[in-house]
Amino acid sequence: MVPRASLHTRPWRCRPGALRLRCVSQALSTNLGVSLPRGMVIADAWAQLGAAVSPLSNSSGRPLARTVKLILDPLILRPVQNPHFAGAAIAIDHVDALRDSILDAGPLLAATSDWFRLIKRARRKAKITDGNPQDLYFQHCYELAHLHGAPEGVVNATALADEVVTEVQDLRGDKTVGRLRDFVTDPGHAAELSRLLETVWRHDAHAENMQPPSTLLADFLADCATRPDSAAFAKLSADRIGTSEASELRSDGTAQEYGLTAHRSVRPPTLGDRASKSRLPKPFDRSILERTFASFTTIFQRESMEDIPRLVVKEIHRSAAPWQLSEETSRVTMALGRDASTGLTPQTIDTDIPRSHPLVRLRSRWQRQPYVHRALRLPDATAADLPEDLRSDITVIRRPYLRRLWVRLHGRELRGEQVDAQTVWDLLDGVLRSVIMDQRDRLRGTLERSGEPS
Amino acid sequence: MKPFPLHRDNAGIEVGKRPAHPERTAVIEARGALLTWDEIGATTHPAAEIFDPDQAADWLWEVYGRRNSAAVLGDASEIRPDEPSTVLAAARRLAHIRWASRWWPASSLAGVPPLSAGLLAAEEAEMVFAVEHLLEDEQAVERALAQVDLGPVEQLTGDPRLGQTAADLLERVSDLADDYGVELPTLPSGAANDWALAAGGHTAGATPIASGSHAIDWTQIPPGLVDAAGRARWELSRRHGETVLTVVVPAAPRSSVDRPSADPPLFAQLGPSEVRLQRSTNAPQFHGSASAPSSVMLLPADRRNLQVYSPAMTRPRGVDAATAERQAEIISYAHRLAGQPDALLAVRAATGVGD
Repeated sequence: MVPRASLHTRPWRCRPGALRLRCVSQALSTNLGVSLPRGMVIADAWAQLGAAVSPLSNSSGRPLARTVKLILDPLILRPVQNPHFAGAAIAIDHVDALRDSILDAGPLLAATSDWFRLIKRARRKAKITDGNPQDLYFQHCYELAHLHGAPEGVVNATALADEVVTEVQDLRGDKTVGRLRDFVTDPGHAAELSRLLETVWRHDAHAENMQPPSTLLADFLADCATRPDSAAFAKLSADRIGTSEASELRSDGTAQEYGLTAHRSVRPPTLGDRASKSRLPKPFDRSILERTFASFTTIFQRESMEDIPRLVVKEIHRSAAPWQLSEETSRVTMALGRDASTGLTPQTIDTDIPRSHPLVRLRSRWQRQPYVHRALRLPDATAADLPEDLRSDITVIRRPYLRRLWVRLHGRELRGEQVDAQTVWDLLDGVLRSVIMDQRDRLRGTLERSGEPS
Repeated sequence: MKPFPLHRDNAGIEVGKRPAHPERTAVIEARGALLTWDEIGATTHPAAEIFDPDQAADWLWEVYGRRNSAAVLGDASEIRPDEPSTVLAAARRLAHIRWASRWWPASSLAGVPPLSAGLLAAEEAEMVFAVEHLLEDEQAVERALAQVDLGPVEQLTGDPRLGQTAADLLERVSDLADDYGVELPTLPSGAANDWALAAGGHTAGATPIASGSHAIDWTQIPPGLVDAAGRARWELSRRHGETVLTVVVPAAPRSSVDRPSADPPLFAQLGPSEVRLQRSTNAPQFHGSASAPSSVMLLPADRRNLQVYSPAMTRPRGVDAATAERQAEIISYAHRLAGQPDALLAVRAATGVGD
């Protein structure tokens, strides 16, 4: 399957910083004859496909957010291969080509829609209710449409649909999770795995040499939201800057300050014998079983998943690695997140930092929250009855932020999804959005529960 | 249509101005911009704070029109919004539903019936789906569905006037839940609550010394607790040689079709004295009394300001003088909405306006 691409790639070639707004303006207005908003071009083409693609559309007739993210972008428009289809504005010379790509894919998209209907029926028949069907099956449906065309002409269409549902369920279902737990807790394996865990953590004592400080990290961060520099990102990884930046986690209190552990100093994880989806400990305090288990509860693709013994052994190695992550690109991203999230603390920001800098952008998103919360009549952080853990997550949002960033990066590693220069900002921003929305749910929850006798 | 002034600065682009008060603010977080409507201002087009023009460009044309969106992202100084698109109408309705679920001024005193939270949540989920492509929250549909309880919708399907509309809504929301893999609870509805209005607080065997009443700031208490038109009444009295502060606050009427929910804590403060208020068992009100230091008696009359707040919401912040006037406007807005043919199903179900 074609790898997924980011929803918002930004190939702007304008100068960074305060000039950015003007640059967008030029592209979209004074040059209205020269470019059109991408969303508008897609919406116009999509409307022409009509009811045939309604399972992939919302009730306003627009492609669903996940249709764009899982099908249109990575499989049809492919902005990485077709840079002229990327970005917020499509040059007028390419508008027809983009529209034609979508219209040409019409029959394929209609067939994808039909497969999706069929698969939903198969899912109901199998009485499966958990997981978002769009996440789980959209790409499978596209694959089926690509291989077989519309299901109407396929003799064993129902069987094929059943097969997909069963396969996806087997991989994310209890069976796999049970096998994982059995493997880790089996006395024979457990002894061997514990030895391995001890060995890799002993090796970690040989600290890697620190790189001399470099401005490369700060330079890449400054531009990653507007014009991510792939060469700079590659150099950050090649120079192992993420690894080097992890050395600070060895000093007492740092990982705790970042919200990655509850302890003053980082401790080796245990193998673990149970795991649940909720109430997981902080990332570095999670057992090997809990870490591996996480991969079965989110979307993933079979072809990128490893068999269970390898998955567990890799997780043990990963736990002793810098930032407790395997890929250098993930470690670089943790270092970038750490630096960007200084904007999420009361500390003042240098007024010279341009508005497009992630530090400023994250901070302004965070600072908008009290206004939105007031309009939504939600508790504020001064409310005496607010649970302490929620209050501290709200006032020191940097900790839940770095925690969630780690979880996202870890998940990507398990699914074999590389972080590249173009995805960094989407990750940094998306993580804050998701932390904020979760806090809002928790705030609402405190009102609903506050009256119940405890 | 009234023009919207545009303002550009380092933080982004502002279209119009955000409403001044939270209780009349309807809000949607779109990708790259915050959209706000003055809920009682009768405007279809929102004010916008665009913080990421790249992202906002994708959908801005659906909100302000194609020409206007180019002007906003360009260098115009004002725009005159076009005729609203269906997407804009859906966005406005979603913001309206969310406003109603937080600020609807249910009041027995003013005759504003309570809305069913279950009906509102179902209508909200449906509208979120209509505009999910422009919402910032990638889990918006799932999150909205998680709040839905189909019990009240199901109950309304038996209504002679609104039954068909409710049945259609039920079907669409059930399908949506199926599409998104969310299991909806259908819990038994609550029982009807026929409370008589009013009834006062009294303190038997006490000698009243001073009394008064004050407006209650909605922003300091959770939704659905206190009668929107109600005032907090207080009385200072002497009883067995003690000074006692007694406070009574009228309770909001509650929808008879929703599951009964527990009350968040409610307190009243008068100078240095604080009283915890409990729901009365024999009248639709909260009441409480506590002994007060005699220094309360020495407070000058203009500082005897009682304020009601919930520690589940905030620390007490004081109540500004214009509160009651603002609230009266919102209450009369709710009265106006009740008669409108395109009112929310929740409003029509509560006020007896049919299809």
